[in-house]
Amino acid sequence: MRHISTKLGRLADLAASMAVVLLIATPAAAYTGGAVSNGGSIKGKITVSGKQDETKEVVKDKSFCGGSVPAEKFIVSGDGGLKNVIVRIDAIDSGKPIDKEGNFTVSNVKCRFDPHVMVAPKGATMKVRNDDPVLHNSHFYLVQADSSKKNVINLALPRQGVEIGKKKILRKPGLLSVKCDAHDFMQAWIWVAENPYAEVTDASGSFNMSDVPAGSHTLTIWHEELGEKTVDVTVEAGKAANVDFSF
Amino acid sequence: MMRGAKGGIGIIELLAITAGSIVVGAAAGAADLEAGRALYDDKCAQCHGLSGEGDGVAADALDPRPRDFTSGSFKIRTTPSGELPTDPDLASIIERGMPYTGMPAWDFLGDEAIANLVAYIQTFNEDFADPEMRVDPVEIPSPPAMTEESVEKGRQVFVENKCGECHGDQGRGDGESAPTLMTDAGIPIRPADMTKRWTFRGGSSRSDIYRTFTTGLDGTPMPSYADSIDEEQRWQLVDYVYSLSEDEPGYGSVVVAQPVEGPLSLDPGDGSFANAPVTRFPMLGQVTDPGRAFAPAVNAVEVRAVYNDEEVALLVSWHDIAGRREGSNRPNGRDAAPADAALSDAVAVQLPSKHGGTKPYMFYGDPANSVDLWFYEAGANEARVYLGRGEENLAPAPAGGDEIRAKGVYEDGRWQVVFVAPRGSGDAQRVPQETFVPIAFSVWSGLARESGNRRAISSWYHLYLAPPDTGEAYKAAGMMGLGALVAELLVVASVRRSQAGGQS
Ligand code: HEC
Ligand code: HEC
Ligand SMILES: [Cu+2]
Repeated sequence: MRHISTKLGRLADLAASMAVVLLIATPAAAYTGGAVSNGGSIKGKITVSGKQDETKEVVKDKSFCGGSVPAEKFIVSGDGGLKNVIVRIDAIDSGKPIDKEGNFTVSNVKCRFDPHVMVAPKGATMKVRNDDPVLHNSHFYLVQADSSKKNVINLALPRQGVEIGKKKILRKPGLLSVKCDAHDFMQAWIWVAENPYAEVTDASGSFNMSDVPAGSHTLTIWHEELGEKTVDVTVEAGKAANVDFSF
Repeated sequence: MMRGAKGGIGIIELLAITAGSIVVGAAAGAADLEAGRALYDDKCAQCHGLSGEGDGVAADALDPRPRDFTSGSFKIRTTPSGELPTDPDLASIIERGMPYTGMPAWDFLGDEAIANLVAYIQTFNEDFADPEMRVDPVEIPSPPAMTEESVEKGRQVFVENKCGECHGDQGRGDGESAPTLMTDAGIPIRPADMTKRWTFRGGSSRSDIYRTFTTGLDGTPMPSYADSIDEEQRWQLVDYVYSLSEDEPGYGSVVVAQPVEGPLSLDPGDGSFANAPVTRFPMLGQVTDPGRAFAPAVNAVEVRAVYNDEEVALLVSWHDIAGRREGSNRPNGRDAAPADAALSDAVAVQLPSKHGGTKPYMFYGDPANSVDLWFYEAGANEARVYLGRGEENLAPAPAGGDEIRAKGVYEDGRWQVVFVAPRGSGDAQRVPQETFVPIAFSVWSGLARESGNRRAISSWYHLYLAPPDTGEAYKAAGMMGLGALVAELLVVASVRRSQAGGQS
C-alpha cells in the first residue's frame, strides 16, 4: 500500500487497462430470448462442387482405429449438398429463447469425434466422453480473430466410459477447435453461440432456421476448409426465406 | 492492453481514477509495478521479450521457447486446466526456475522483487485483471506415506490410465504418441522421461507430480486427469512415477572399466556389464561450431566398461523417444540434412589418438593433437572409425588401422550400444591400465533431425581401466574424479552459459 502515493502514475496505468477490460467485458447488447410473434424461417441448401473427402493416416492404436480415418471435411451428397457447414446470424439481439439445458456432448468413437461439427450455446455445460477402449484427450482451443488458437482446456479421457462435463468450455463465444494429442488426426469444431440462430447442415447440405424475427439479417456461412461467407436475407412473417449457397 | 492504454489521455485517465479502487484491492495488491517493470526489462526481457510475447533476442535458441505471457497459458499451476495460475504459482516458478530449460531460478532476487515481477508479467494479459477469470486452486492434500504397496497399485493406475501411450511403458518418454506430440504453438515436444525426475519442469516432489497430472501442463499435450482419477489412486500413481527415478542424476566424470576373463561380448545384456559400475554423463548441445544444436534430444549418456588384455568394451546407453534405424547419419558437417533424407540415430566415442599427449581440442581434435572417433550409425548397425584434426578436418581413418566392432539395440525408449576396440600395444597403446584416458561422447537423434555438427556432446571425461584389485582403483578414481570434476564443471558451466541453458 505504501506505493500508492508515490506510484500513482503506474497505478493509473493498470487502472486504465482494467477500465478498458471492463468496457469490453460489458457487451453493448446481450441476447434476450422470448416469444417470437410474426417470425419467419430461413431454409436452404449449401452445395459444393469438385470436392472429395480425404483420409488421414492413423499412426497410433492402428489395431483398434484402423489404418486410416475419413477427414470428414467434405461429406457431399449426390447432388452436391455439403454436410457440416455452420449457418448462423451473428448480429441479432432478441428472438426465440436459447436452450442452455440441452445435451451437448462430443463423443470419441472409433478414433473420431462425434459429431464432427456442432453448435452449443455459451454458458451451457459441454460434455466429452470416451466410447473407445483406448486413451483419448480432448484439447479445446478458441480460434482467435487472427486465426491463432488459444488453449481452453485439455482433458484426459483415459478409459472407456469416462464422461466429463465442464461449463468453462463454453465460457466464451466463438469457434472452438477440438483436438486429441494422442491421435493427431482427430479434429472437431464447435460453434459457441450467443443466440439460438446457428445451425449445422445435414447430410443433404440443408438447414432450417425457425422463428427468425421478421426483417433483414445477415447469414454467416462457415466451412472448416472453405472459410466464411456472408449472405443477406430478408425474412417475412409467416414465410420461409430460401437461401441456397454454393461455395 | 496496458501498453495501449499507456499513451492514452483524458477519458482513459478519468476511467483510471474510477477503476483505481478496484485495482488496489485486486491482484496487484501492494506490488510495485514500476520496480517490477524495471527488473523485468533488465532480467527477463532478453528471453521473454519487452512486450512479453516470448520473443526476446535469446528466444530462438531455446526449446522449449520462453513463455509468451500474452497467451495466458502457463504450465505449472495449482488451478484447473486452461485457467490462469495463482500469484503464488507464478512466484514459486520464478523462484525455482524450470530445470533443463532456459528458465533460470531467481530465488536470489528475494520475495519482494519476485512479487513485483509477478504483478508486472500479469499486465501482459488482460484476463489477469478480470476477477471472473481468476479461479480457486485445486486442493493438493498432504501426501500419505509411500509404501511398496502404493507403488505397486500405482503401476496399475499408470497402466489403466495409459500414461505410457505418451510416456512409454517404462516411463522413458517413448510412448506410441510421442513422435507426433506438439505444443500449442506447433513445436514438437517430448513427453517427460519419468526415469529422470530431476528434469521435471515443475519440480520433482510427490506433491509436484500430483499437481502435474491433476491440472495438466497448459500449452502442451499433457492433459488434466482431475476428473478421471480419484484421490486415492492419484497418490498411488504419484508413488509409482516417483519410484521410476533416482533422486539425483549423480553425474560422474570417470568410467571405471572392470577386468574380465575371456573374450568381450557385443551383447549389451552380457553378464560382464552387469558387474561394471555405471557412470552418467550430462550431454549438452554443440553450440560452438556452425550447425549448432541448441536443444538436443538427449540430455545424458550412461556408460559401463569392461576390458581384457587385448580389448576394451564400452556399453553406452541413452534414452530417446524413438529409435531410428532407417537412413544414415554422419559425424560432422555444418549444413542441415536435406529434409527428405531419413536420418538414423548415432553415437560416437572420442579418444585421443595417442596416449599421453596434450588433450586434443574437444571438438574433434586439433591439428597438433588428433582424436579417434568411433562412430556408430544405427542404420548400418556398425561402427566406422574417423581420424579428427578439427571439426572441418575429420576423415575416415586410414585403411589398415584398428577395427572397432559395434552393435546397438533399441528397446522401450533406450539405446544400448556396445563398442569393442583393441587396446593397442607398445607405442600405439591407446587405453593402458590404471591411467586416466580422456574420453568424450556425442549422440545424434534421427527423429530430432540431428546430424553432423548438430549433436549432443559431453565434455572430456575419463576412462580408467581398474586393476583387478578394485578397492584401490576406486580410491584413485575418486581422487582423480574430484579434480577432473572441478575442471569439467567449469567447461560445462561455460558451455551452458553460452547456450543460455537451452537443453532439455
Ligand atoms: C535465459 C532465458 C530466460 C530468462 C532470462 C527468463 N526466462 Fe522465464 N522462461 C524461459 C523459458 C525457456 C521458459 C519456458 C520453459 C518451459 O516451457 O518449460 C520460461 C518460462 C517462464 C514462466 C512460465 C512458467 C509456467 O508455469 O509456464 C514464467 C512465469 C517466467 N518464465 C518468468 C520469468 C521471469 C519473471 C524472468 C525474469 C526474472 C524470466 N522468466 C527470465 C526462459 C527465460
Ligand atoms: C497425450 C500425451 C500425454 C499423456 C497421455 C500423459 N502425458 Fe504426461 N506429459 C506429456 C508431455 C508432452 C509432457 C512434457 C511437457 C513439458 O515438457 O512441458 C508431460 C510431462 C509430464 C510430467 C513432467 C511434468 C513436469 O513438471 O515437467 C509428469 C510427471 C507427467 N507428464 C505425468 C503423467 C502421468 C502420470 C500420466 C498418466 C496419468 C501422463 N503424464 C499422461 C504428455 C502426456
Ligand atoms: Cu484420440
